[in-house]
Amino acid sequence: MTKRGGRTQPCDRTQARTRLENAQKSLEVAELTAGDEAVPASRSVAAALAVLSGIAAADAACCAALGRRSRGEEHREAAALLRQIVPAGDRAAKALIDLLNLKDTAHYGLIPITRRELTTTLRRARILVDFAGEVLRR
Amino acid sequence: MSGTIIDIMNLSRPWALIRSPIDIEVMVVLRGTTRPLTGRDVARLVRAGSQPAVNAALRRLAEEGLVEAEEAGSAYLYTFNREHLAASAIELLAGIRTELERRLRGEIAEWRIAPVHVSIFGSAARGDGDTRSDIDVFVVRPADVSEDDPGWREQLDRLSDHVYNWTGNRVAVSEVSAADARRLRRERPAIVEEIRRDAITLAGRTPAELLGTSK
Repeated sequence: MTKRGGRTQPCDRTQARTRLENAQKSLEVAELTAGDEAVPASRSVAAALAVLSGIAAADAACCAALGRRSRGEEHREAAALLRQIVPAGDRAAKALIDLLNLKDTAHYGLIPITRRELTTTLRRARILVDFAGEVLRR
Repeated sequence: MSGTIIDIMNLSRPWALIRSPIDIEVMVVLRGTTRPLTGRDVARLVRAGSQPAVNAALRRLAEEGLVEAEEAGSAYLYTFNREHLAASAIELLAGIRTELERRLRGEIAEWRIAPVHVSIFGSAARGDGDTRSDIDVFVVRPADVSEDDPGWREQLDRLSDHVYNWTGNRVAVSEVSAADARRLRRERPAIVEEIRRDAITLAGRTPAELLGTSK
């Protein structure tokens, strides 16, 4: 049974910056890995890194704008927090939910990731990283 | 809070709504969310300002009606009153940095000679500059365009003029050729790490694609 409420923890701009750096690095490696067509597992590894990047970017945006982030593995709580950021929090929340829907597939390699899915996943992670960067620069 | 917004606000001197840099810091934070925040939350999120200064600003801004204050136990929860007559002015001030990026992207997209890459880096990218800070712009010129190509130079000069008119800050352009960018990727001087870490890409390839990933 899913527990609701109280799934956030306080954080600040310094932690936001650290999480954003983590998100940027994960996305960079995801983009590089995505280009390695010679290794069959590259796509799922790249997608998994993109998902991690998106989660870190969501945390960064929430820490910078709200002073709170979702606790532990409560990533869907992060989407609810992102919606409270204006402007453009709605778009970021949608990108995060789309990434989370792919999370298990990408992590466990249960279903092969198509090139198109990977491109979409990288784009969504990029939306979140850019959004977090913009929130931090406000 | 009692009374309507109109009878609290001083309509004879509306510009006095914002009296100090802390007021703006507080409004930038509250404008960025629909979530009610405590004074402690706001103090944690502002770029500058002590907790007492933030609390004083919040109380005054609540009196002016720009901020709504709701009692929650021993604390107050604050939100930006987006219906206030001055709300759009606050939105405009708080969104200036985003607007600069939007204008820059729009102008560069119109360039007749497309760049390999353009980004802002340094203090303007980190958001910690001031009125004396140059706006650092990193530009990578296409391989088939010479440094003194009149069309290319004219694009850069026009961009610098526009940024100065928009912001009052000078632009410091760090320009390299595509061949130089490949050399920077190999040699990795300190500026490459700075660009890779902070740059906001305005056009073309990302810093990671151009300069490789960080060490």
